[in-house]
Order: sequence, then structure tokens, then C-alpha cells
Amino acid sequence: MRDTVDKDAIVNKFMTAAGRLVNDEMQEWLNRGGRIIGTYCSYVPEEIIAAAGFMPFRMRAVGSDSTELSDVYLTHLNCSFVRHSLNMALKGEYGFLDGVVTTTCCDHARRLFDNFARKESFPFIGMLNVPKRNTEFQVEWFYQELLKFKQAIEKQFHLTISKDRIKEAISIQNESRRLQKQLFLLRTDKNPPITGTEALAASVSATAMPASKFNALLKVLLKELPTSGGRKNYRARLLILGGILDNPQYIKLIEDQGALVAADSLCFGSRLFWENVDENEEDPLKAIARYHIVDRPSCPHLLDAREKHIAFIMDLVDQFQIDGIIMERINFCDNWGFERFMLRNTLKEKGIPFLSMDREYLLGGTGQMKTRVQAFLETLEGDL
Amino acid sequence: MIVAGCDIGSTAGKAVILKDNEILSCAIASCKPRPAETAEITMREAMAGAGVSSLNEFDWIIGTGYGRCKIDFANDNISEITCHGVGAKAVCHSVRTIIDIGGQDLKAIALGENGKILDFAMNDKCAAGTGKFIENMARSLELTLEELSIASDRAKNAATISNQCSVFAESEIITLLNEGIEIDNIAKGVHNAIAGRIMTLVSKVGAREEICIVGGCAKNEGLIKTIEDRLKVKLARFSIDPQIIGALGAATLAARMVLKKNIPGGS
Amino acid sequence: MNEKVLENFIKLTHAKHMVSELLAQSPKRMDQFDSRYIAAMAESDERIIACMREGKPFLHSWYFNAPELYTAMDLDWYTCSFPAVFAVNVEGPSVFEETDKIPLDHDICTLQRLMLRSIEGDFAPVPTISVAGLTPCDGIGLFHEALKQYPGWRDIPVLEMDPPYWEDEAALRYYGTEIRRMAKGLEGLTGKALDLDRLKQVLEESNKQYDMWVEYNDARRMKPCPHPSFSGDKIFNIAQSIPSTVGHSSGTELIRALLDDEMEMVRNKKAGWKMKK
Repeated sequence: MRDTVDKDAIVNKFMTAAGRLVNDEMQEWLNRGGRIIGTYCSYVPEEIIAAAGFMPFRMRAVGSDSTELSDVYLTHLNCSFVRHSLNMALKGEYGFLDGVVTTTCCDHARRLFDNFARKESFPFIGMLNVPKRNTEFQVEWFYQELLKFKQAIEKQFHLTISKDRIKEAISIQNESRRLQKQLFLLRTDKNPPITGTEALAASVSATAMPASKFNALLKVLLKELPTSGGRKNYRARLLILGGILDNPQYIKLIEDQGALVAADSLCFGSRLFWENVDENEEDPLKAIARYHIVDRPSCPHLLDAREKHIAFIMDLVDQFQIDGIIMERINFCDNWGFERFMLRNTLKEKGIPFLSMDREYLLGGTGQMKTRVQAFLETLEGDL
Repeated sequence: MIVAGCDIGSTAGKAVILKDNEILSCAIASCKPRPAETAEITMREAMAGAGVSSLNEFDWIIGTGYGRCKIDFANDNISEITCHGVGAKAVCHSVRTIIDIGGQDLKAIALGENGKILDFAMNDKCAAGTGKFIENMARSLELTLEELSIASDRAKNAATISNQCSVFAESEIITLLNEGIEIDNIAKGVHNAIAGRIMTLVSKVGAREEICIVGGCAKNEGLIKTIEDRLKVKLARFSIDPQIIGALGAATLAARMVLKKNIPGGS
Repeated sequence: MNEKVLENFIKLTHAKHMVSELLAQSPKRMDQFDSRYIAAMAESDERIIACMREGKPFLHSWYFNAPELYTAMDLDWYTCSFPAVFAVNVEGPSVFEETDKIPLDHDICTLQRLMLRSIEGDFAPVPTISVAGLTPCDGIGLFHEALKQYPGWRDIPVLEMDPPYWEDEAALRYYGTEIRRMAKGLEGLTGKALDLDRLKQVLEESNKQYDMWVEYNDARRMKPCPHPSFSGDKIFNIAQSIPSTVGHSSGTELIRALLDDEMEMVRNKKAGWKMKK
């Protein structure tokens, strides 16, 4: 009986953490004098931040209700996540941060950097130039970027980030990735013990808690969870593909229509933990550079990785027995707009049904969304 | 076997009662604030028309449309996309593409030869091209919907309404009126703008003939002609009211379910 | 070779010749300039038409892809943004309807959607080599990747240079290496060698063009403004995207003509535009 309580308590903890900006574990870290640096993209190396003694926190705009302050600087043609996030920053709701780091991965994130830099919103404001190609030459370039980033943190906070500390951070982050993948793989089962909603809550929590704390929680959860005997009688197994979807309620809305979201390829999902950083590499920064530019499943902004990217999705489709794919996208996103455009031909060729859904960062228009998902499930089921 | 389909949209409720696959009666009622209330009123009217006195007499009822989850008396609910597909196929066997212009939604649905839904596309969270859009535009021109349809038919030089946003389109219309552009030409411009949106949606799913149009706006002949001009095809016309196709589809599916599930009453 | 593309491309080129000839008859100095400007575009088109007919190699490229290299190597190239925009002159407004049918989200850049349409509508010939553009926006790199969705484009070699976001020494070195690698790729694929002395000459010429562009823009701060809004845009095209003018003295002369006209307007304190009533 005790076991179930533990299991449910941890799942609830993750669900609560995903629904809030500051969760209990983070608050505890802050109360003990811990400091936090926010990251705007999965290409920001959390290991360097952690090695400097900070908790890396993946930026979300959860709880935002307007964009009235940020619309002074941005327009309605900007990504709604960026608008909400800048608005929260301008309202001072990210006051718990010592810094933020963006990347050059998208036009909108770059505008965040511009505005933060101009307003000097945080003590530390960084941006990493992530290349758009993936040859050895780009690995070297990104390595130099990591080196500059490390030096900038050292300078700003008067500290030294040793090689050993980075290696230690890599080891902890790799453990987090391995555990998350283990949880993710549970959904290959016909009656998985967790839902897609809960799985996303877990991977969002991974970006919002001190890594060792998160690892400890997830370890207990994995021990308590059976490998099967969970959800049954669902109408179809779906894969959800897209960008910065950080809201488990979005997945819940899909699953409430009778689907099981069995797998994902999201910026808050599997792409973050599918591969590990090489722990045998002598220079840990080299290993991190290679991990992001070559090894990990890439974001569409990386241009030479199409075949690998398709292979990644097709492997998920096979391994998780996917019946259909939902491709989500926040309006005005070029990266995911073109990704969908290119992917639809591949999916058609392979006979995999898909549904495209546009969204705003805040969950809305749920009536339409329900109709679309329900109709999609009806088409997957065939003749009624 | 008596079954019913009840389609609760954003502006109207529709109900169809079938007895052994023949339409016994149908009803259309304006929406009340609560979908459950709309459903009740619509259904009561359809039952009166069919001489059915109690809900107990139905073997199965399926709800569909925007308010489908709020219909208390329905045994099950199915999305309006599937229902429109089934309903259109029931009255027009050769249909392959369905355009649905509802109060707040615009949809294009592609059917396979067997009637299976191959693909569908919906407007985004925007009223452009929907029934609401047409209503607003007609109001700015101080025309009823029927007058708008007739005016559009008389137009010689359609005005251009470039704005997709209904609010901006309305102010564009006011500008055109101030410039002295004839109302007929503006009316045609309104229909052109909607036809443009429809073109895009239809292209998303592929325009295979035969193409038909369902939903409340399918009664606007001026709009239908404009769409025909733009798509360069003749749209199929139904023998029954195009507004009840969704409810008919729901009722047809209810009948199928009775047979499939061997619910008492099915044979 | 796709006959339809050749036919359409010839139509576009003819339209340019016609407009150019028409403008040449006008006594207005700016019309005279536009006549030469459009003729330069048509001249570049003619070279692509010849390549298509004779089966000779040509590139598809994008602004900011160091087009001076192409001039120095005497390579023929074009960018589909021109047929994308000019197609409306041949096909009429149906181009926009056709563009809307492409299943690429409508909130993505219209130019990129029109360029895809120029390919789907057989207005943009499949080149022998594609030099992808990865700057200035997210969409453009992906647009070039999306070209591989189209028959013909799937099978041709693609070269690309990754533009750094920074502008420091390290970034310049990085981009320099990318350009060198691209040039090597071009040499390998075309069999033509890049003569660095020739490249220097071309760069000297194109630097003159850029210097005049700066001068031109400076003069536009005068009141009244001597030239209308989009005139500066023409210098961009002359210096960056019209193959027959990039790094060529003919391009420099064209820019000088525009600059001279502007200077005279400044001297006479005349406005280059009229307020629309």
C-alpha cells in the first residue's frame, strides 16, 4: 500500500512542478542559498551551469496571463512563448534568476536576447551561437562557444569551473537522461504504467529541479512502477512531435479524447535524453559540443541532419507501435513550419497518418482542438 | 428501429430522426446560451414532427457538433467531421470533398471512394470565412443574408476585400462604402474573400470531385456560385437541407451502431 | 530539361526586355535608369536560358552567398526570388492563390512561399548546383533544405556556408573558412579554378559599388529626400543579386548613374517623391 502512495506522490509532484514556475524542490534550493540560471533552449549546456554551482532552469512562461508589457518591444508576429516570457521578465517574475542564456536557434529567441541585453534584465545574459550545420568544423566552433560561455560565467561570478566539476555534472546529467529514457520506454508496453501526460510532466520537472534531487525522485518512481498493467482501452497510440511544448495539460486534452500519447519528439521530451554525453572524452567541453552538434536528435534548425532526424522519428514509430502523429507548432515558428512541410511528404510515403495543430503558447481554443483530435482518432479507427 | 442524430453547432442546433434509414423528421433551432438547452429544444421539435413522444423510444442517439459532449440524452458522441462525411455520403454517393461552413468553423473534408475520411482541414482560431464573418459583413452593409446573396449575384465588378480578419474587413467595407463603391460589388467582394479561404482549405486536403457544401451557409446561393467560379467546378446540390447533413450523419451512425452492437431493436 | 520551365523562363525574360524597351523611350532620366537596370536582369536571364538550352552548368544561389566568387569564376547563376516575384506578370494574380495551396503555414514569409510556388509552378529551373543560403532568417535555411522535396532538386549537389552570429575576429575566421570550403566545392563541381588575383579585381569593383551605396544612402538623409523609397533596393540587387552586374564595371556604372541623379536632385533641392493625396 505504501508503494502506491510513493508512486502517486511522485507523479503528483511532477504534475505540480510542471504547472508552476517555482516548485518545492527549487524553492528549497533557493532557501538554502542556491542560485539559478535560466536557459531558453535545449542547446544550452546545463552541465557548465551546474558545474559552476548553479541550478540550470529551463525557461517557461507558465502562469503568464498577458503580453501587455512585452508587446511594447515585440509584435503579434512573434512567438507567443517569447512574448509571454519577456512579459514575465518585465513584470519581475523571474526575480529568482541570476542569469539567462539563449541560443541563436531561432529568430524569436534572438529577440529575447536583444531585449534582455538592452534592459540589462539579469546579472548574467548570454547567448550561444549554435551552428546550422553539423560537420567537425562546426563541432569545433561550438566548442569555442562553450569555452567562451564558461569563461563568461567565471568572470561574471568570480569563480573557476574545473574540468572535474564539468565531468561530474555530465555524469549526473547523463544519469538523469538514462533514467528519463527508462521511464519513456515504459510506454512501449501495450498497457503502460504511465500516460503521456505524466511522462511530459516528468521530463519538464527534470528541467526545473536540482538534477540530483530529480534523479533520486525518478529512481524511486521507476522502482515502484510496474512495467505494465496500466492504461488500456485507448483508441490509438499517438506520437507528438514539435517544439517547446511544456504543458502536460495539452497532452491530457489529447489523451482525454481516448488516445494514448505513447511517445514524443519535443524540446521538453525525448530529444533531450535520447543520447548521452561521452564520459570517456578527455576534454568534457569537447564531449558536450559533439553531443549537441552531432549525437543528439536535432532541432530542425540544424540543416544537415534530415535523414537522421527522419530515422529517429521512424524508430519511435516502430518501437512504440505508433498509429498516428500529431505535429504541433506555435504560430510564426519557421523552424517547425518547414519541418512539418518536409515531414508530411515522408509520412505520406510511409503511410503514417498525421494531424497538424497550430497553437499559442497558452493553452486555448480547446473546443476546436478536441474536435480535431477526436476526428483524427475516428479516421484512425476506420469505418464506424 | 428509431434513431436520432443531434448536431449542436455554435449558432444552431439540428436534429434528424431516422426510422429504418428513412428521415422521419428534422428540426433546426437557434442556439441558446447553454448547449444542453439547445439540444433539448431541437430534439423536442424533431420528436414532435416525427410523432415520437418519449426519448425511450429511441434505440440509439448520437450527438455531434461543438456542443456534442453536453447533450445529456445522447448515448454517444462523434466529431462533426466524421458525421458530415457520413451524412454527405448518404445523400450524395459520389461525394469526395465536403466543404462545411458553420457559424464559427470552416472545414474541408476529403473522403475516399468508400466514404472513409482521408484528411480534413479546419480554420484556425479565427472567424474569417465563417458564418459569423458573413453575418458581420452583411450587417455592415445593412443587408439580410438573403439580400447579400442576391446583391452578390448582381455585381459587375467585385470589390477587393484584402483583410482576412473580420474586424479589419468590416472597416475595409466601411471605407469602400465611403468611396462610393456599389453595395453589389462589395457583397461579391465579401463572397470572394470567403471563397479564397475555402480554396485554401480545400487545397489542403485536395479538391476531388464531386464537391459538396454543407452547413448553414450552404443555403447562400450567391456564395455557392462564387465558390464554383473560384474552384472552377460545379458543386453538388442536395435534395435535403444542407444544414442538417451533420445531424443526418450522426443519425446514420446511430443506426449502424444499433446493428453492430445488436442493441435490442436492431435487426 | 523541363520544357515548361524553359518556356516560362523565356516568357519572364521577354517581359523584362519589353519593359526595358518601353522605358528606354521615355525622356525621364529615372526611366532611362530603370530601362538599363531591367535590361541587366534580362541579360543575366539570357545566360541561364543559354545554359538550359546547351546543357551547361549553372547555380541557384541566394543573396549574401558571396556572389563575387561567381563573377570571379565566371559561373552562371540565378536566385529564384526573381522568378517568384515576376511570375505574377505572366500568370496574373492566380499566382497568389496557387501559393496559398502549398501546405506551408501561411504565417511563414511570403517571399519564401512565393519562391516555393515558383518551383512548383515551373518558373525556377533546376540548377546543376545549389548554393543554399542560411541567413538572415530561420526560414531561409529551411527553405533551401525544403527544395530537396522537389524532383530534380533532390539529386543535385548542395553547398552551404554557415554564417556566424557574431562579428568578431573569430567569427570572421570561421566564415572565411566556410567560404573557402564553398569555393573549393565549386571548383570541384564545375572544374573551374578560382583565380585569387581575378577575385581581388572583382572585389575592388564591388567595393566601389558598396562605397557608392553608402554615399547614396547618406544623401537620402537630405530634406527633401532626393529619391523614392525603393531606389536603394536597386543598388542592393545590382551589388548582390543580378549576376551581370555583381562585381562588374557595368554594375558600377549603373550605380553611378543612380547616384549622379540623386546628387543633382540634392543640388536642386528637389524631392524624389510626391506625397500621395
